[in-house]
This record gives sequence, structure tokens and C-alpha cells, in this order.
Amino acid sequence: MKQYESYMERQEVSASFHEKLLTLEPPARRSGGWRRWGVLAACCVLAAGLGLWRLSPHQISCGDGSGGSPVSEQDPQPADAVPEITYRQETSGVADAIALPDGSFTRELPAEQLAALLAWEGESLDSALAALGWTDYALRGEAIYDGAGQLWLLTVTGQHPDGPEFTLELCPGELPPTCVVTPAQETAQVNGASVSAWYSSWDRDGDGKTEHVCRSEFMAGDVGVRYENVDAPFTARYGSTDGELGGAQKLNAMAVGRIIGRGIDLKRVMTCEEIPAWREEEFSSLAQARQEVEFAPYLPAENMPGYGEFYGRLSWQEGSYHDLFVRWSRGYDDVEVAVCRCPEKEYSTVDVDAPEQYDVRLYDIPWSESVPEEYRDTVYDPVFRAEDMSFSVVQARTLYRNDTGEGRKASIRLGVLHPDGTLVRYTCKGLTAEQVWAMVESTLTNS
Amino acid sequence: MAQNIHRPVDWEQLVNENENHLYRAALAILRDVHEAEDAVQDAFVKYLEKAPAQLENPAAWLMRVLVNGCKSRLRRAGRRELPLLDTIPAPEPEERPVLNAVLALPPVDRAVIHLFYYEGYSAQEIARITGQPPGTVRSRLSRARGKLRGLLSEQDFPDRKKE
Repeated sequence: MKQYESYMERQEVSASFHEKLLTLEPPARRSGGWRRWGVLAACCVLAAGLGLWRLSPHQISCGDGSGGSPVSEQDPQPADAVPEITYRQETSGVADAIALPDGSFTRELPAEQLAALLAWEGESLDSALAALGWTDYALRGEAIYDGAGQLWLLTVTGQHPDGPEFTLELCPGELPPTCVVTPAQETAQVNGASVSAWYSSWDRDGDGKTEHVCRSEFMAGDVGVRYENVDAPFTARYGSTDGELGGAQKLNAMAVGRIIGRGIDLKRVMTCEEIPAWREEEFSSLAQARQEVEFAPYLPAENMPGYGEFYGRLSWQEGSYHDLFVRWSRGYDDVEVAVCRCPEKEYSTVDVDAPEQYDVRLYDIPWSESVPEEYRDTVYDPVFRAEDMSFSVVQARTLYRNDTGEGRKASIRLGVLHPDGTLVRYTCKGLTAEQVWAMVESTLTNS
Repeated sequence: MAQNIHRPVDWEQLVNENENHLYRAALAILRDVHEAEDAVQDAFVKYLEKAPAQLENPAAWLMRVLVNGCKSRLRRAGRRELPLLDTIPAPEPEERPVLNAVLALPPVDRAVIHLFYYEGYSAQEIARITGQPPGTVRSRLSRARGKLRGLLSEQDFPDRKKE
């Protein structure tokens, strides 16, 4: 880390910024406003249920995507020129989180819209799919729109019956948000567009067989593109590689060449007229948050004693979620109460007579080594029925920290499901079990 | 002035002692000079507004506020990953591989690595600063080291005993 240290040692605030800090004044009034970013792991975005459609059999030139088609060993020779791209070996791809814009919502893409996206004017869909190397792939499409109905991200996924799959992400005006942190390095110029491309090979599904993952990023005109494919239904020689890896790289390069060469038109999917109603609001005080009458019975009546900083936020989207979150902070300690009013949601509750499901006193730290697999979820994050709540339950959830030198400090995390379907999650650091129980108990009578 | 109630007598000393530490941590997490300056300024403003009167360790308090602020900024920014090294001062050629490797880690791992290796905080202290359990910090350190070992020489990561 010597080089890292030497670099950081040279980084200093500028003289003008230093002067600015010396004369800082707290703002007279903090800005509020409608702002909220719902954080979601990008992989969960895909896993949470993409709108599914499948091209009808007559639209697919070979097979129906229902399985059983032999993998073609033939190296395809598409009409579009396949660009020469150097795929660098990926070394640091790590899943992270992306944030969705306020009021965002998803819509599955109707088949005709997706077909219009992939096939250019005067071209058959079969021909387009063949040029992309996607013959036999079952396709799915989903668009995420922001709260104003403007396209934020369009995702097309494909699944080949023999295992290969791909994800194509398109974003107007900029590269799609990423959940994989990888140094962006241009590896090719394709028709004037800079392309960054990577590959990695490993047994990612534990089936004893190596999968080859290829990913490319580029701007196709004013559309940002990220395209990732896992394996290919053919082997090929591509650049200095051949076999399965060569096939995967060639499949990737085929789409890169076609999309850059012919462009991609998002006009038909750029806006969505049917925008679900939504509301995002931040609160600067508990009193303000308690003005939300549906939530007030589940919120503490008073501020947390000794805790200074308050943050509150309401998030609502018609038919999807209706949450209110409040937090008090004091030094290293936070008290958080999250109220979720989604009666149609179903939650699993723990059996209060089975303490092994939730009693933290039964397990040593680290829990990863002491908590049986079947109790992991409930020991980490249990939900109790309101009628089962008692002081002894809160005590069972009280984890003491002795590492501060300031005596025993408690850390308590639990959820309470009320009879009307409202879920209240408590995450409390620095409060005693008695204080947390008082907070919970008041909601039991209020609700 | 009521607004200045939290300004300590030695405000200048507080700024002098902490501004660059905070700035470097913000730079590591946010990878952007302007965002880093804004984050540092926010942390000091928060100090003026919110810092407890009897604060034992102002540096740790400021760092915690800064890290939280950086995380909020990343969330607000929609986690756009800008090309590495385009938004920070240029490193020397020999510094580039290491810097590239560290800054390619996810933001929270960057924070943990920076606080541990550069600032010299223990895993326990980092846990308090970042609001994570110490075990999580240790596993992040271990995972990040694993990733970086693939790119860097062993001497870049001498074993540390303070975990």
C-alpha cells in the first residue's frame, strides 16, 4: 500500500476550501424536499420478476425455446461484421447496490415493442435475432420508468434452452447504472464508439463446469448499453481465443457490432403514460412525521431521550408500498423505526414458544458459526406477532456490547406484525430493553 | 449566536487536524474531488449543528458523519460508476495499479480498506464509524484483501495485528 499512501498523502484540501471551512456557519434552515432513492441490489432488480414474454414459435427460426435443441457447434457467420474487441480478464467484479429514482415503476415490454426494438425497418425478426446470435433464446423484456414516466432502464434478457443466457441493458443518455464495480477501460473502437469489454471464466453455478461471462459497455449514439452473456450456444475462434470462451466472446462482439453499427431506437418505449401515484417526503421532526395519521399509532410519541439528530421519510406508491421510516442518531448509536403498511404482504412470524428461533442469548458471536442454518433468518431479523410481544421477548432480542468502555450498551432488532397487517421494525442501539419495550408496548395499545 | 453554539473554541485546530483526513477518506469512497469537498463541508456543518457538547473523540465522530454522508451521496447519485481516475487527481504511474485496484472495490469496501490501511483504525473502530458489526468489517477486510492480492504483491498487504 505504499503507493496508495503516497498518493493519498499528496491529496489535500485547497487553500480556498480550507478558508471556507474555517468560516463555516451552520445553515439557518435545512432544505427539505421530495427526495428519496430506494436502494435495491441490481441483481435483485432482475431476480424480482422480470416481465416475461416469449417470442411466439413462428417468430423464432430454430426451435421453440422449450428445450432439447442441440447446441450448435457451428461458428456463425453473421451478415454484420463482427468487430475485433479485446476482452480483458475481469478481476474485481463485485455486486453492489444501485438506486432507483423516486416513484419508479416497472412495466413488462409487450412482444411487439421488443420486436420493434431489435429488428430494424424492413428486417425480419428472425434475421435480427440471427444477426445478434440470439436464435433459440427465450426473451424477456422489462422497462423501469421514473416517477415522471420517463424511461430509466430497459432490460432484455435471453435464456437458451441449453444454458447460455444474456442480459442487455439500455439506458437513455448514459451508461446503465451498474451493480458490478469494474475499472472502465476502453478496449476497442467500433465504428467510432469506445467499447470497454471484459470476460471472466469460473464455475459460477457449482456444476463442475466452467462458465464464460463476457461483458461490454458502450454508447450507441445517445443510448448507453451494457451487454453481458454467459456462454454461447456455439464454439468459435475469436481473436486469440477459441472454443467455448471464443464462442462467448464472439457472441458478445456480434451484438456490439450490430448495435453500434445500426444504432438502437428507444423512442417507442421512452415514456409510459400510466404512472402509478406516488409520494416521497422527508421529515425534519417527529412531530412532522406524526402528522401522517395512518402511521402515528405506530411511532414513538416522544423523541428518543439523548438522541439529537432526527431523520424521517415517507415512501408511498399506489399498489406497491407505503412506508414511513424514522431515525434518531447519537454518536455511534441509532434508533430506527420503520413502519410498513402493506396489508396484502405476508410475513413469516416466529413461534414465541420456540426461543431457538430468535433468542440471541442462546448463540455466541459470530452467529455465522453458532446459529443453525434453519434459524439464520429469524435470529437475525425476527418478526413477532403483536399479541406475542412482551418484555421477555425484547430481553431475548437484546445483544449487549461491552466494547465501548462506557458500560453495557444494548443493541436490539426485532419486527412486530400488528393485526391489521402493519409491520414495525425496530433497530435500536444504545437503548435499554426497558426503553425499547416501552416504545413497543405503546404501539400495542395505540393500534 | 445560537447557530454557533457547537463551535468549539479551537475550531481552527479542529479543522486543521481533520480536514485532510476527511477529504482523503471521502475521495476514496466517492472518487470525485468535488463530491469529496462537499462531503467534508457537510461533515463540519453537521458538527456545528449536531455534535454533542461532551464529545470524547471529535475525529471519530467527524469520520463517522463523513462516511454516512458519503453513503447517502452515493445513494442519491444513483451509483453511477464513473471511469476510474477520471475524477480524482492523477496518480503517478507507479501509483496507478494500486489506486486502480483499491478504487475498483465497492464503496463500503473502499471505506473499510482506506480507514484500516491508511488511517490506521482498528476493525472495532471501523465498525463504529461505518455502523457495521465488527465481524462484518473483518470479513470485508478479508474479502477485499483477497481481491487485491490478485492484483498486488504480497508486500502491499503486510499482516496487521490490530484487528
